[in-house]
Amino acid sequence: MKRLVSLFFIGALALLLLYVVSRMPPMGDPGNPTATRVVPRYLERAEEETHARNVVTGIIINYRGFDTLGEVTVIYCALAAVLAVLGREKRGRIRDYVELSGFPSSVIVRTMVALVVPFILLFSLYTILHGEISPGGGFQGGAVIGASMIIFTTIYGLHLSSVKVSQGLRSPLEGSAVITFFLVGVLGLFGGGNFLTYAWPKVSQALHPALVTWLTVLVEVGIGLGGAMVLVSILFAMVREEGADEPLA
Amino acid sequence: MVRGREDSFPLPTRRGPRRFRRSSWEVMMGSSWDVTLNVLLLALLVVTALLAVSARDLLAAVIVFAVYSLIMALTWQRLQAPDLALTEAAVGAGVTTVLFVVTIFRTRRREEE
Repeated sequence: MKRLVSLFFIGALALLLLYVVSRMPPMGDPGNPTATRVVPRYLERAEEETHARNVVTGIIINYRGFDTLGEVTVIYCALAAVLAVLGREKRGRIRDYVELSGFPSSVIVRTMVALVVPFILLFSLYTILHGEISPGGGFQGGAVIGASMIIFTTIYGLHLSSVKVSQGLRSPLEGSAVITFFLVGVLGLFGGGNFLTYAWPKVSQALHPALVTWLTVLVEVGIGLGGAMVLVSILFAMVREEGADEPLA
Repeated sequence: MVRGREDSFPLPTRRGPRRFRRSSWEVMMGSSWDVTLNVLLLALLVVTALLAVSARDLLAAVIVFAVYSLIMALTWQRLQAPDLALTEAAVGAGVTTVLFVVTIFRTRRREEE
């Protein structure tokens, strides 16, 4: 009986989705509304409407702001789920298998990582801060920061990297993506625009247009730091060894 | 669509003189060098995807999946989406691979217990 009910619901859902797909405009047709209305509007008016010189950034943060708000929330929820299952580490006394294994990693690898990680961090900062002009942006730069911390943690061990990026630094910044995005979005309401519009009609005409650009950069920095700290916290929660909270003898 | 914009969009148009019209194959593939590279990338993409699904060893599947993400990043770059290429290379090939490997090391197969 249960199977019949679930089969019925899956079949109904499949029929509904197939019906919707059959009513969609044909893919790749140059005459459908995405190609005739949306793309020219974005390409022609993105700069004056969003004050972001990189059209992709303008689209992601302004036109499709709700999409990005959802993504940012999803990342934060992922961290919340991981921490709900695995728990946050105790402050300062965590170890992982790198310290517990007794086999130190090779000198070549350690030297290379120590050489490369600062440049990766520099590139990620460039990606975040320059994302308003060039390809990239907050989320990409945050992911690169997370990747560099992963390299550092897998070679140098959890203890040293948790000293470098301490819990007191991470936990306030984890929510910064959601908070910055939401607060700057709400500011748009007071500025005479809609929620999640930064190019407020009143402000950008009366005051300086660069203010809007700086708000975009602020949102990018918030998303970048938040995403990076979420990734690092998930990594720390996962690589931490159980029963290794006590200091080694 | 605004007039005079036809050549800035690489979409096949039904209007316009013959020499500006391009078949959808040409639009998709470009020159012969591009064709070779694109076919190579897409073939590798399919091969790595099948290998990642069919591998019996979980660690091998994860590593092949990282290769898949790397090729996917190259494909995004070929499709002129550098934002997505950056995300795919950092998240797909970097972060998720390490998280998968950590998960594999932290879990045990049932036969071993």
